[in-house]
Amino acid sequence: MNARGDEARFVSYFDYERYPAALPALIDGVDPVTHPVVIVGGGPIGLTLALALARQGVAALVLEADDTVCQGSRAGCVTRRSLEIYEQLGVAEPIMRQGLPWSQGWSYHRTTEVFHLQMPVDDEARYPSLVNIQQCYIEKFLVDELARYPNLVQIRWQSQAQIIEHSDNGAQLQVTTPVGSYRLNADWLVACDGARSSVRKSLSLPFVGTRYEGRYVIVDIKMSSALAPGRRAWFDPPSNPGATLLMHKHRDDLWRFDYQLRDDEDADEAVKPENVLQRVQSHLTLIGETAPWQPVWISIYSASCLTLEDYRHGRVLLAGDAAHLVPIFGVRGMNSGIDDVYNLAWKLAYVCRGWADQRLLDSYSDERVHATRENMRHASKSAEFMAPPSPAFARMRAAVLSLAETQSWIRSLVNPRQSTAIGFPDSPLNQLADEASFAHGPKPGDNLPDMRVAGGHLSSLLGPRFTVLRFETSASPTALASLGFGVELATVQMRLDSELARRLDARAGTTYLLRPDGHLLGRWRYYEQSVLTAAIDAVLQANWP
Amino acid sequence: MSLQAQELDDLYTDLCYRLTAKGEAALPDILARLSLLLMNETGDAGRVRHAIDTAMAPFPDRVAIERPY
Repeated sequence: MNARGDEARFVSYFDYERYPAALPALIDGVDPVTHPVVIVGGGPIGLTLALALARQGVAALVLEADDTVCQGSRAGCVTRRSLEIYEQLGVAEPIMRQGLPWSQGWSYHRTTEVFHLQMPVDDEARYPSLVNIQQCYIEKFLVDELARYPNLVQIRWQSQAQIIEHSDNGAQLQVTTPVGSYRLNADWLVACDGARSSVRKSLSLPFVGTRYEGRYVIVDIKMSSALAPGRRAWFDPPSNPGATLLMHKHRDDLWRFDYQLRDDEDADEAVKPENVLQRVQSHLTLIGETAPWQPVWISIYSASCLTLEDYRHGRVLLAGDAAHLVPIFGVRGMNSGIDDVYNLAWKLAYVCRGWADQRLLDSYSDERVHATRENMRHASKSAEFMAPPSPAFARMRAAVLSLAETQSWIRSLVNPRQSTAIGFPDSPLNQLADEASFAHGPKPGDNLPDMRVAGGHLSSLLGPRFTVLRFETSASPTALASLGFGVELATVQMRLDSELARRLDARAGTTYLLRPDGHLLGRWRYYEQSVLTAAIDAVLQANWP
Repeated sequence: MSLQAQELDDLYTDLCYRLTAKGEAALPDILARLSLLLMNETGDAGRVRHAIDTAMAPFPDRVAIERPY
C-alpha cells in the first residue's frame, strides 16, 4: 500500500529510477534564483508543460513530491490529439512503440452484446484515434526527453511545495524535502499537482460541480490472452451483479479492469487484495479466460465533475486535475490536462519572452474552462450510465439495456462517448473577418484535424510557432519569417489538388493561420502578409473586445 | 394524426389488463421501456418533450439533484 493506503502494488512495470532529494545553493534559506516558471507537480501534466516550454526556449523548474514516476496504469489511454501534441514534443515515437492502438468496443448487458463501438478510422490522420498506454510510461518517456534540455528544465524530486504568497509580480513558495526546506521565488507558478492540489487548497479556490457516488476499483493484471484490444464493458454481469465492469488490453500482456462497487459495499473491504482478486477471477471465469494471471496494481476511484471557474489567478495558473476533475470514462482525464498545458505553454512562453501582453493568459482560462464544460457534458453522461446516480437513472438505464438487446435505434445511448477534439468557437483570439466566405472546414478556434500533405502529415509540419498554410496554384516558397517583435511565422505551401484542400474548403489564394498549439486562428480567401501580422499582433497585444 | 376514441379506449384497457397480469413489481420497468419505445415511435423531439413536461406537471420536485454542467 502507498502512503495514503489506497493503492497496492505487486510487481513493477519497468526498472524505476529513484531520484534523490537535493537542495539548491541557498542564501538565508532562500533559493537566490528567481525562476521564470515554477511547475508544482511532476505528473504527466507538469512534465508535458515543462517540455512544451522547453521547446519554446523557456526555462522551467518542476517540483515533484515523489521520488520517481508514478505506479500503476492510472490514466490508461491517449487520444489522437494528445499524440499529435506529443509528436510536437518529441515523445510520440516511444509512446507508439509501447502503446496499443484500438478502435473497437463491446458493451454487454449481463452476457448479451448490446452495443458495438467502432471508432471512426481516418486514413488521413497519422495517429490512431486511441492508444492504450499506462500513465507511468508517459511520465517515464517525458522524464527521458526532458533530460535533453538540461539548461532549460530542472526536476527537483521529493520536493513538496506550498504557496506562501502571490502578487502581481510573482509567487513565493515553501519547498520541503527530506534534506531540508527553503523558500523559492517564481515569476509564474503553474499548479499541475493533481486532484488534491496543495496550490488550489492554499489559495482556497472552490471547485463547482458534482461528485458522483459511484466508486470503482481499478486493477492492473498480467495475463496472456488472445482477445483483441478494445473497450469491453459489462453492465450487471453475473461476475459483478448490479454493477459495471470495464476491461482494457495493454501491451506486454497487461490488462486493466475498472469495476464498480455496489452502494452497499464497504470500500476498505472491497480493495483488500483477496477480495479484488476473487472478483477478477470470477469475471475471467465468466468470459472463459483460463490462462494463469497475476495482480500488478490496485487502486480505487470515484468520478467527479468539478472545475474551478477560472484557471488564472494573477501569477498563478492551474492545469489538469488541479483545475478540474472530469470523469475518466471516455479518456478525458489526463488527455484534457495535456490539452490544457499545450494551450498554456506558448502563451506563457510568449509572455515570459516579452512578446505578448499577460492578458493573453486570460484566454488560456477562457478556452480551457470551455473545454472542461464540454468534457463534462459528455463524460457526465458516460459516468451516469456507468453508475446511475439515482433510482430514476437506474430504472431508465435498465429499460435502455433491456431494449438494446433487440432495438438497434436505442443502442446509441450505450455509446461510451469517447473523447473528441474540442474547439473554441467563442475564443477572444478568433479572427473572423473573412469567415463568411467559407462554406465548410474547421472554424476559427478549432483544432485542425491531421491530414496527409506532400511528404508526410500536417501534424509533423506544425512547429512551436504561428504557421500559415498557403494554398496557391504557383509555387510559393516555404519560409520562416520573423515578424519583427521576435515572433516567428512559418509559411507552408499547400497543394490545391489534395484531400486537405477539399476538407479545408481551400481555393487558390486561401490562407489558414494556425496558432502555435495547432488551433485555427483565422482563415482568409487571400494571402496578405500585413493582415496576418495584424491578426497575430492583435492576439499578442490582447486587443480583443 | 390522433387516435380515435375507441382505439384509445381499447389500448388503455388492454394496457391496464396486461400490466396487471405482469404483477406490480414489473410495473415501473415496463412503463420505462414503453416510454422509450414511444419516444422512438413519436419521432419528434418537441412532442416528446411536451409530453414529458405534461407528465411531470402535477408532481413537485422532492429530491435535490444537481446537473454537473
